[in-house]
Amino acid sequence: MKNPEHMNRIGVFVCHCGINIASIVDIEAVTKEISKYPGVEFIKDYQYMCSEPGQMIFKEACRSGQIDGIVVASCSPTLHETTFRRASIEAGMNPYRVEIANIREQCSWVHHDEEEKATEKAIDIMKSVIERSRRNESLTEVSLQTIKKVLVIGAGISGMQVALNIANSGVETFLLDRQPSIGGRMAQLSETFPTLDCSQCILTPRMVEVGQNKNITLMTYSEVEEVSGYVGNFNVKIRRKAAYVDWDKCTGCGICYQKCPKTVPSEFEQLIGKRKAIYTPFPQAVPNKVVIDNNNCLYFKTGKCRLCEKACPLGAIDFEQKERIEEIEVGAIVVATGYDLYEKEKIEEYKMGYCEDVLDGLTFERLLSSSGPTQGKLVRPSDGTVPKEIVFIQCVGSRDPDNHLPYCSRICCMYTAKHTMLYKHRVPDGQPYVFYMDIRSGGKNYEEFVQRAIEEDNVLYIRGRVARLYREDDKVVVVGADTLSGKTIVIRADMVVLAMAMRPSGGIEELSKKLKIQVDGNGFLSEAHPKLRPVETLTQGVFVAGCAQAPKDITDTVSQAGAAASKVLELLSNEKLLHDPITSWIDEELCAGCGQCVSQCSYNAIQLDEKKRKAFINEILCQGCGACIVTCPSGAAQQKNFTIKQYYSMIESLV
Amino acid sequence: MLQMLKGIKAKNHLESIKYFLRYLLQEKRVDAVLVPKRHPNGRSVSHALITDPLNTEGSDPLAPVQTVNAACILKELTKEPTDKKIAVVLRPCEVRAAIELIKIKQVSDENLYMIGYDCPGVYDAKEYMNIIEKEEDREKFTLKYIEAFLSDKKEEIRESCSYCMYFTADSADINMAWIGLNSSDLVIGVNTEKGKKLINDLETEEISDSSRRKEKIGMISTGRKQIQKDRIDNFLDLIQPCIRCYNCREVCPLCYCKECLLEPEKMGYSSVRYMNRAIKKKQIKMPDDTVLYHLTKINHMGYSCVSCGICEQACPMDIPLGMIYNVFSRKIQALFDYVPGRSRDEELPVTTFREEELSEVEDIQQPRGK
Repeated sequence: MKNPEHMNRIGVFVCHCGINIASIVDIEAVTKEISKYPGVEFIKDYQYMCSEPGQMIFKEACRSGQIDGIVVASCSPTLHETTFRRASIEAGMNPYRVEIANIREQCSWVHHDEEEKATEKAIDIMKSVIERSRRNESLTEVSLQTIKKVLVIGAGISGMQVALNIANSGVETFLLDRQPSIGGRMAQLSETFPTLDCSQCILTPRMVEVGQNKNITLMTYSEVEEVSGYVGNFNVKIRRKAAYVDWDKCTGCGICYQKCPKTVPSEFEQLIGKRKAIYTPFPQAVPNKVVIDNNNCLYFKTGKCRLCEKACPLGAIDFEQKERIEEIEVGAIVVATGYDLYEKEKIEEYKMGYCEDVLDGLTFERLLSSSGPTQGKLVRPSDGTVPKEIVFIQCVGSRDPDNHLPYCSRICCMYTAKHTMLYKHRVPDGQPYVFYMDIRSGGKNYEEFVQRAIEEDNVLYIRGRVARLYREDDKVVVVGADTLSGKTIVIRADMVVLAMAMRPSGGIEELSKKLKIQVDGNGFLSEAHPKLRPVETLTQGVFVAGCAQAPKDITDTVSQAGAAASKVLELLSNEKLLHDPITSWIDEELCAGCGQCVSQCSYNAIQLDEKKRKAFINEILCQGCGACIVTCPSGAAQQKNFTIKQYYSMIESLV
Repeated sequence: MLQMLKGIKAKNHLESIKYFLRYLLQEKRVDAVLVPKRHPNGRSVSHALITDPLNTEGSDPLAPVQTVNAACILKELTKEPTDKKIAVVLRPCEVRAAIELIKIKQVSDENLYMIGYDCPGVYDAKEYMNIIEKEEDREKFTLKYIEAFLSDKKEEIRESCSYCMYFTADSADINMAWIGLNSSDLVIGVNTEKGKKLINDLETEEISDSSRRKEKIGMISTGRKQIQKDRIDNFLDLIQPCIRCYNCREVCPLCYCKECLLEPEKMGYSSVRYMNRAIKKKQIKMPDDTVLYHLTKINHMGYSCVSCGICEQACPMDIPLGMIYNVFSRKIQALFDYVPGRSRDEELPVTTFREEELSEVEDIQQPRGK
């Protein structure tokens, strides 16, 4: 009895995979058994089906017109499904009529000591895939238009680099940052390792380049409010925060902040320097526009002042300004939100020693920076004296799975070496000490750099952790162990610099939810594959770059930014995107309109028509994950080429 | 907070309900009421959708019999939202089933006013019919039954009622209360805004002391908890008699699929299949897949099952389905800290995701996980 909906002329290929399959599974027995199975038109085996000659046999069979479905019994479909589907296209057969029966990973490899049973299992696996294949339909890919615009979230060195690479290829780019200026963390650094280049000197030309690029639209002082849509067609709502200054008029002349009577600690200066209530984060800010910090502004707090308004020659101050939502449409999104430092308040055993002279690495950078609050003069924030003995503690919060963060923050070994050298260059008669666990200096010229610190600048490296800090007079006493000599080391230091662990910047979790991308156990954004897809996320069209993905230094960040940009350009270079047709659909006859599938869909692909009381699936949004199918008790939600009848018949053949 | 409806004084609970229903229709508070009614010569009660106030005579929602779970009727009545207001008198298990159905959009509650009451439980329907045939005054029989329940004189009730833990209708728009209250007035709890609308111009008086009611409810609950079974050791033996008649599915208020996934036709089974299976397995039971059927039903309905026990009553083979579903579904519901029908705002466990849920399951899979 032939059912017209079934494919009943199936060609089966069995791959030996050298000896991977053939040494365990009795290929001859398999072919003999399967050739008798209903609907199998012919069966062939070959040493390597994926090889050129193997594919020739495959294609010949496709062209013969004898068969309307193919099952390849070989390795996992994640490896060669694409290979055979492509071959079938070349041979003029619909690729979705090709199915893989995995008899390697799921059979020969895991049953290497029970050959008979493995053979039996291979036969069962193949029968079940033949059953599925019988009811396969020919499918065509869904094509969709792409918007040739890109949103880059985060305008540190990573986001800037992504935006520049994309914009220079002629693609319109929106570069967003929640701070008033682009530049990110790198703008705060004094010098960079291993060359001791001045950070600002290499960064600010890039910032200007970004600011002047015709294809880049800056959206600073803004945050992502909502993201909808899908690869090639994202709709992003952006909250433009109220700066209380008309940026179209503001030229950044700075008269306003000279007049502003309210002084507060500057976030850019890591709170050791000052700014006004109306301010730009730093003199080289791009865009060079001021914002009013309404938490500190006297007018907002007391209703009186408005000195800036009087001072502004351009009438740019606008106390009535409201934040607004701007909508943009983009084809791809790159997340480059960077890092924060782990809070030093979380390190209980050091708290006794905390004072103004115990700094984290970023604060120390500001102290070293020639544009910092001391103009690069290295003095103690507490009393302005030059620290003669200074202790650097590495791995603070890092590599401590029991109490803090399990991972290595990767840049601290290098920047601590840099800190010690910069210190020595400023205080030649001072003594720097470094407490370290191991020195991780893998990178071009990195090891040489650390050696230079030790040998040329007489930095004393002590292998061991610091147990506690406490204060004595105006000193910070550092009690640590030297694990090489087994002695306890006590140093009465003038200053202590903590190499705090790096962690993803605040708000990354909410952002990841809006973008429907994943974060790992440490809160960093997850890449699609750690080796082969390092800048993609599992959500198509969303990419990552920089420290949002994992701790990394500027060199790696810039490389990764380039990689992300090239993936974006690859995506947008297609006029149309092709979408896998293995999507779900709703059988209207069966749908009772309960709406449970709607809540299950992570891609917002399902809508409930309240009037018709039926669910509908947007096949462009559907990723074929199958969540709706398992939720639907009626079996109304089904997947193409994976219908209920198909998997029942697969199970039937197995039990 | 419970309150007395001062205007309604009647000689017994049944009269006060009837009075209230008549009032709702007369005052055009609602367009219709749905309530079980006695029939002069019939052996049971059946639901009537009444639009004329005079027709409320003969209403007997308290008759100790549940012929259907009235939530099933609500599915029919409100599948498409109506603009007519309907008041329905429901047992607590029916209220809870209706709320579950509202969540999955199979009942529209826009114009539905649920009136629940303290439920004394019911007889098995067939038993009730046998008894009632010999009774002269059926109304009196109902009243006697309630009296016995309220004065703790044990009446024989259906097994699934004997361990029911939700015998007050706290999630209905209005619930009528009589356990632990010695009042000739009709005492009600108003639980929703809609409930308020129903009684808005009736004079009420708050009942300040309901401690005896609480105590009594606690007592009944404790007693019933002891009867509840916690596990089933002989599931396969228990369902062995199943003839796959699907009665349990037909009467289940929560089975809402248009076409059951478990129909052999849906699975795409051909006749040859049975023979193939029999050869492969040496023998198969016919009708087959009864275990699959029951497990799937539990899997589909477990989180919403209100343990009304109507499936057990409908089973021609006397399989203790009420007990089976009760044991399984309580475990499923406990996993999600979910009580079906407790509140309209409580989302179905499958439609929500909470990071902390099912951690006990994770622990089993990842013994070293933090």
